[in-house]
Amino acid sequence: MDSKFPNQLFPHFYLDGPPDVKSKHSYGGWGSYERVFAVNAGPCDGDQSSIQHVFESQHTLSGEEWVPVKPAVTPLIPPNEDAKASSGVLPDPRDFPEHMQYFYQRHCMDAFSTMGHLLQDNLSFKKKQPKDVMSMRWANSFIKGLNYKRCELACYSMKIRHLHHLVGDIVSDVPPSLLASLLHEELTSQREQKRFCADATGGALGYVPLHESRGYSDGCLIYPSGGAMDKLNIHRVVQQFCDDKPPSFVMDSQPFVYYLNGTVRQISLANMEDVGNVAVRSDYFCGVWLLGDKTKPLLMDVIQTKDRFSCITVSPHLPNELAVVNERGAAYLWTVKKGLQKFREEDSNLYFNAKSPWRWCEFSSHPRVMVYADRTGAELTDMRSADSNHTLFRIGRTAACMSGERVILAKYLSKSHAHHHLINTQFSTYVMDERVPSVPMLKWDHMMESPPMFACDLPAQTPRQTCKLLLGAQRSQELMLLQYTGGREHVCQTRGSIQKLLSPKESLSHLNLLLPHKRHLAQKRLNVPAAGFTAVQKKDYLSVFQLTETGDIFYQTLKLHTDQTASNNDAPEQSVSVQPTVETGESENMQSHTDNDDQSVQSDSETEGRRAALRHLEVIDNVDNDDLNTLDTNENIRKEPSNHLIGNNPSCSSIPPNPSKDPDLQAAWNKWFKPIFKKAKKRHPNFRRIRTDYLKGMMGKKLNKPKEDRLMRLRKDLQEVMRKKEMLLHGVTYLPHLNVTPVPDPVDPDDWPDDVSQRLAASWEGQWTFWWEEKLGLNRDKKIAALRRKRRRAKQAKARNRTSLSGSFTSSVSYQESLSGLSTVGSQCLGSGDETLENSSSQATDMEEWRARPEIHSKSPIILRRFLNEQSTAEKSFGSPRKSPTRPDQDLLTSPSSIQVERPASRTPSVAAGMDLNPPASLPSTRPTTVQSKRRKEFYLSSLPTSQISTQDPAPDGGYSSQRVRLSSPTPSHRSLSSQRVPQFRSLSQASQPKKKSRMGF
Amino acid sequence: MDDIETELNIAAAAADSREDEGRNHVPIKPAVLLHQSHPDPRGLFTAADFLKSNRKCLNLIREAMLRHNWQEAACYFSSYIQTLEVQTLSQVFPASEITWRLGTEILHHVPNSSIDDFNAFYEQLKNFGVRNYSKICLEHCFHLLLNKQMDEAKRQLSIADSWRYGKQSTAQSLMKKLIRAYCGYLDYLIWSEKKPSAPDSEEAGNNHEMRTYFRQASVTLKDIVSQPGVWDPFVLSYIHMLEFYEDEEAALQVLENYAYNKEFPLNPNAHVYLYQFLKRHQAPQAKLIGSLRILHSLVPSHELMLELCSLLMHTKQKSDREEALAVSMDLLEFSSWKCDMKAWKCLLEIMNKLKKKKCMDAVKKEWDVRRSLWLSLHYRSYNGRKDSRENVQLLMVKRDVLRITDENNREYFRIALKIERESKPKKERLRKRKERMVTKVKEKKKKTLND
Repeated sequence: MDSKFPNQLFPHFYLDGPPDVKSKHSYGGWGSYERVFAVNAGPCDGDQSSIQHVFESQHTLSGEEWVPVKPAVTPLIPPNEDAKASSGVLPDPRDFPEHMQYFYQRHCMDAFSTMGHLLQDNLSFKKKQPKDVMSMRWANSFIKGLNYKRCELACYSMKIRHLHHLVGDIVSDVPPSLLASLLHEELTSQREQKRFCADATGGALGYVPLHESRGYSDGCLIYPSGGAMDKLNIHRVVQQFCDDKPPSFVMDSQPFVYYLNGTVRQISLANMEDVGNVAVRSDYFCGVWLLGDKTKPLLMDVIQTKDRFSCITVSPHLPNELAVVNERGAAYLWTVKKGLQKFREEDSNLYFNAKSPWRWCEFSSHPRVMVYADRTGAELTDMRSADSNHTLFRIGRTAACMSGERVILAKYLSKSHAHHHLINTQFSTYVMDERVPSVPMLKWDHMMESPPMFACDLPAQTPRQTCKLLLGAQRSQELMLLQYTGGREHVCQTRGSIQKLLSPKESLSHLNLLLPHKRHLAQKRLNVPAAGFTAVQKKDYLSVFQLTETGDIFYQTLKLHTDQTASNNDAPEQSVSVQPTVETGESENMQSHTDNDDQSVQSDSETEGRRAALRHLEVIDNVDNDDLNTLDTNENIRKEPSNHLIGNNPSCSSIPPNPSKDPDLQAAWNKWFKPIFKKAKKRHPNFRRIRTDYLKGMMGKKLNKPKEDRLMRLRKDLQEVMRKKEMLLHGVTYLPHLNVTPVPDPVDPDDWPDDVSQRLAASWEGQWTFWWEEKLGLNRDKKIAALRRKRRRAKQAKARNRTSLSGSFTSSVSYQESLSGLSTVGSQCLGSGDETLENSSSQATDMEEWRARPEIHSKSPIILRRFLNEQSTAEKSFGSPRKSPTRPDQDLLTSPSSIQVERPASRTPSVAAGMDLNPPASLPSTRPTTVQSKRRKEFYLSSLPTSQISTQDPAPDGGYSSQRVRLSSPTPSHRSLSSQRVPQFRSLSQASQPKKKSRMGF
Repeated sequence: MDDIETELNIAAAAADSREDEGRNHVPIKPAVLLHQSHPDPRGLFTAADFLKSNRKCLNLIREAMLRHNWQEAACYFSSYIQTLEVQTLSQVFPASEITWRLGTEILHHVPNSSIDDFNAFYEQLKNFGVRNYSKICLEHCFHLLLNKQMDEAKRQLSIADSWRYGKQSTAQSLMKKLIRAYCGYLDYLIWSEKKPSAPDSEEAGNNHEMRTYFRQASVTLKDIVSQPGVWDPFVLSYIHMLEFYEDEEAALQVLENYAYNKEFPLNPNAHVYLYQFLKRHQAPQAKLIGSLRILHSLVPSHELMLELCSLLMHTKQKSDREEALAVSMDLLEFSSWKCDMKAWKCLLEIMNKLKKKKCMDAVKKEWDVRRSLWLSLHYRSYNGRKDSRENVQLLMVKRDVLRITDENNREYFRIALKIERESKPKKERLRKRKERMVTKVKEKKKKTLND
C-alpha cells in the first residue's frame, strides 16, 4: 500500500535561497490550516461535479485523544545508584573569578607550590627566625589584607602593594591571566555542551518486542546504566494487559549486563524478525548484538576508529547491515563480520558552511539508497553508483525555514510509511516523502523549548487510526505527541494539535510534599536532561519509557479516549487529567506537615506554577485596588467572588476535584526515592539536627482542655474559611486579644517643605512627572483650559440662577477680563521666570524692593527665609484670612506641592484615612491646607498678569547665557513662591474688588 | 487617557466575550487586568510588572494548550488579549500573531464556538497588525471553505486580493500570490459547478457567464502555475478547463512545463498528469513510454512502472523487453513493493516471456548484478516462513522466479514445497511430484551433461 502516491498534493512554493525569516515566537503550531484544496475537483471526476465540493486542509483539527492514565510518570526500575546528578544550572562563563578563587583557596598546593618552594628558605612562620628569613608576622597582616577582595590596590598594607607589584604575576604557578582566559573558554564550551549536546542524538533507550501471546507480550528493554553510563543492560520486560486496565510492566529480576569501554550514546534497533540486531554507539567504537526470543544476547561485532562516530543505524531491510558515520564526514555501510564499505565522504557541510561536524545517516526505502544528513540538510545517496546524490531536504525557503534553523535529527519512518522520512529542526518537524524530495509533505512547529533529538514513530494500527510521532528533547525533557494520516491514496494531513506528555521533572508536584532538603535532592535528580525514550502501543494504550542522563527509567501510559470510552466511563477525560484543581492544591498544603512554601522553592514544574497562578487569580478578589480605572471592575468581581473563577473557567466546575493522589504512584515513588535519600544521608553524617520531639510531647501534656478546644475550633474555622475563600478575622476567633501596637504617625509631607522632600513625596505617590510638569509649568495650558471650562460652567450655572440682567452683565465683563489676562499667561510665564532668575544675580536688594517687586522673592532661599522670619510677626498683625501659621516658612514652602489641586484625590486612601484619623496636634490638619491651596492657586493665577508687568523694568543685564537659564530652570518654584507670596499682601488691598471674587469659584 | 484605555478594553474584550455568550448565560466576566495583578511594594503598577505577568500568562496558556486543557487556556486567553492594547507598535506584531494563533486554536477546541465567533475573531485580528493581513485573510477563507461557505470565502478572498498597504503588501508577496491563485481556484470551482447546467449543445445560453469565470480563473491559474512549486490542484483545474474548451495544445504545454521544467521540484504527480493526458488523447505508444521512462528515472518505485512494463512488453523489440525486466526488478527492490503480488507476477511474466524468446542471457545478466541483494532481501528463510504464513501465492510466484534464475536456494524451496504439500490434496500432489521428478531428472541429466 505504501507504493501508492496521493493524486494531489497541497500547493507549495518552491523557492531558492537561504531562509530570511527570523523566528519571532514559538507559537506557530496553532491556529493555522496551512493549505486547502477541494477533494473531488478535477477533470477525472468532473462529471460528478454537481455535488458540493468537499475541502480538506493540511492541518486538521480532529485527532485521536490520548489521555494520561496517571497524573505523573512512574519509575520503572530502582534508581541508578552510581549516577551523579549534576545541578541543572548552566555554568556561566562570567563566573570564572569565583572558580579561580575556589582553585586558589582549595587547591593552593597546585596553584602556588612552585613559588612556595622557592620562597621556603626566606619565609618562616616561626617567631625566632634567622636574619635573612622573613617572619610570617607581616604575612598575617598580608593575609588579612587579602580579605579586601574588592579593591586590591587600595590595600591594607603598603607591603602588599609592593609585593603585588613585585611578584603578582609569578607567585602562582600558572599565570592568572592565562588561567583565566582558559577557564573562561572552558566554561563557555561547557555551557554550550550542557545546553545542547549532539552526542546523545538518537537516544540510548530501546524496546524490542520479542514474543506475544494472549494477555501479555514479552519484550526487551535495552538501556545503559552505571556511573558513566557504560553498562549496557538488556532487560526482559513482560507487559501484561487486560481489556479494561492499563498494561502493567513486570521486569525480569536480572538484566544481561555488558561492560563497555565508553559511554553509551545511542542505541539503534532493527525490525525484529526471528532475531534482530541491536547496535550501540559509543564515541570511538560501535558494537552489534544479536537478540532473539529464545537465545541469549550475542555480541556479533565491534568496530573502533580514531574519529568519533556520530551515528549508527541498523538496516530495516537486511539483517546484519548497518550504517555508521563519523565526524570527519565519512559514511560506511557496515556488514557484520565483513567490514566497512565507504559510500560517501564529505569534508564540508552539504549546502552551506554550518561549522558542524555532526553527520547522520539513515536508510531509505531502497536497501542501497542511503540518507546522508548534516546540519544543513539531507541527501539521498545511491551506493551502487558514485555521484548519484539528490536532495531530500535542505534548509531554505522552500521548507519555509527560519534563519538559523538547523537539522537536529533525521529518521527513516520505516514502520509508518516506506517512503517517509522525519526531519527535525529546532523549530519545526518535517515529514518528507523521498519521492517528492525537497518539498515537505507536512510541517509542524513543534514549539519545544529545546531541540528534539529523539524521535519515535508508531504506525497506525488500523487504516482509520493516525500515525503517531513522538519527539523528545534533551534538556527540557519535553515529549510531544504529533499525529498525522495519509501519504498513500490520501494526501498527508496533520491530525489534531500537538500534545505534550508528562516528563519526570514535573512529577514532584503530584506527589506528597517532601522535606525541603529531600525535595531539593529529588528535584536535582529529576531535572537532569533526558537521554532517550521509546514507546510501545498496544491497542488503546500507549506506553512511553523515558531515560534520563542518570540512567533512571520512567514510564507513563496513555489511553485512547474514544466516544465509546466516554459513554462507558461517565467521568470525562479530566478525571485522569493532569490538571490539579485549586482545592487539591490547598488541601495538599493542609496535609503537609512541613511548612513549605511552594512559591519560594524554585520549581520547574509548570503545573505548580499554574496552580499558583490560579490561586493568584482568586486572590485578586481581595486586592484593594483603588486606582480609579479598575474600581468598577473590582466591584464587579467583589459582587460575585464565589463564582468568579468558575465563570471564567468553566472546566473547573466540570472537573471533579482530583481525588487523593494515586496511592500506587505514591508508593512507587517512595520506594524509588528511598535509596537516593539514604545515600545522601550517608554523605552527610554530621548533619546538624535540632531536636523538636520534646516540644511536641510537652504540648500534648501540658495543654489544658479549654486551650485545646480553642485550638481545635480555630483549626476548624481556618478550614472553613479556606473552603469559602474568605478572610479570617481575629475578632471572630476565640484567641486572646492582641496587643495592638498603634501604627506610627504617618509622615506628613507638609512637614518637609524642602524641594527634594516634596519631589520624593510626589514620586512616592506616582506623581513624579506631574510634579515636574507642575514645577516647570508645562501643564499650564491644560490648567488654563480647565480653568476656562470651569469658569464657563460656573458662569452658566450662575446665569441660570441669576435673574437680574445687570448681574449677568458684570459677570460677563469679569469673565472677559479674566480670559484676556489668562491668555497672556501661557506665553509670558516662562519669560518672567527667566527674568527673575537673572535678577537673582543682582545682590542689591532691600526691604522696600521686596515689597514692591515680588519677583525678587525668588532669589536665594536664604535671603528669602531671613526675610520671612522678619515678616512672620508682621503677617500675624495683618490678620490674614488664612490660619495663622506657627511656622510661616514651612507653610509657604509647601505651596509648590499643594498647588496641585487634584492631588488629594490621587493620594492613596490609606494614607489619607490615617491622616484623617490621627491629625497630629502640632501640625496643621490636611483639610485647611487643601482650602489654602485652592486659595493660593487663585492668588497665583490672578497675580500673574501683574507680575509680568513688573518684571519688565529690572533685568538690565539680559545677556545671560541661555544655557544657564536652562540649567536653573528645573527650580522655578521660587517663581510660584513669589507669586503666591505677593498676592497675599495684594489680596488684602484688593479684597473688595468684585472681579477677584468671581474667580473664587476655581 | 483612562477613558481611552477603558474604551479599548471594551473593544478587545468584546471579541472574546462573544465566545462565552452561548456557553453560559451568566453575565460576562470582566477580564482580569494583567497589568494590575502585580502591584509593586508601593502599591503601584509598572510596565515591567505587566510584561512579567503577561509572559507568565502566555506560558500558562501555552502549557494548558499543550496539555489540551482548552477551557483553562480560554480562561487565561481572555486576560492575555490585553497585550494588544498596551504594547507599542513594534511589539504588537508578534503579539497579534500569537493572539490570532492561540485564539483560533482555542476557538476550534472550545465547545459551542460558532462560525460567527470565528468571523468576528478573524476580522478583528486581521486589521490589528497589518503585517499579518494576508495570512489571516487566507486562513479565514480556508475556514469558510471548510465550513462550506464558498460564496463568503470568495468574497473574503477578493477583498484580500485588492488589499494594498504600502510596503506591507509587497512584503507579503508570496501570500498575495497564493491568494490570487486561490481566487482563480474558487472561480474554477464555481465554473465546474455550473458546467453541467450548460451542456455542449446549449453552450450559447450560458456561454457568457461561463466564459467570464473561465477567463478569470485561467488568468490567475496560469500565473501561479508558471511559478516554481507544487500546484497539483491548480494544474488539474486549469487543465480541466482548457480541455473543456478543447485547447489541448495549451494544456499539453502547461503539463510539459509542469513536469519537465528544471526549476520545478520533482513531483511524480506532474508526470502522472502528463501521462494521463497523453493517454486520454490517444498519444502514440512511444510517447507514453517516453514519459514513463522519465518518471522511472526519477521515481523508480512509482506504481505506473507496472504500466510501463506492460507497455514495454507490447513492443516487439528485444531491448524493450530487457528494459521491462530491469524496471520490474528495480521496482521490487523497494520495500513498499517487496510483498506486492502484482509486481511479482509482472516480473514472472516478463521472465517467462524472455525465457520463451530465448533471452535467458539477459535475465542472467540482470540477475547476476542483483543476486546478492535479492537473495538476502527476498529469499531469506525468514521471508519464506513469513510468506508461507501470510501469502502462499506470493511464495509460489517468488519460488517460480527463483527457479527461472536457476538459483539453488534450498531453504526457500523447502519451505515452498512444504506449503504446497499441505495445501494441495494428496493425489494432485503426487501427480505434480511425478511431473516434477521427471523435469528434475531431465534437468539433472542436462546438468551432468553440461558438466
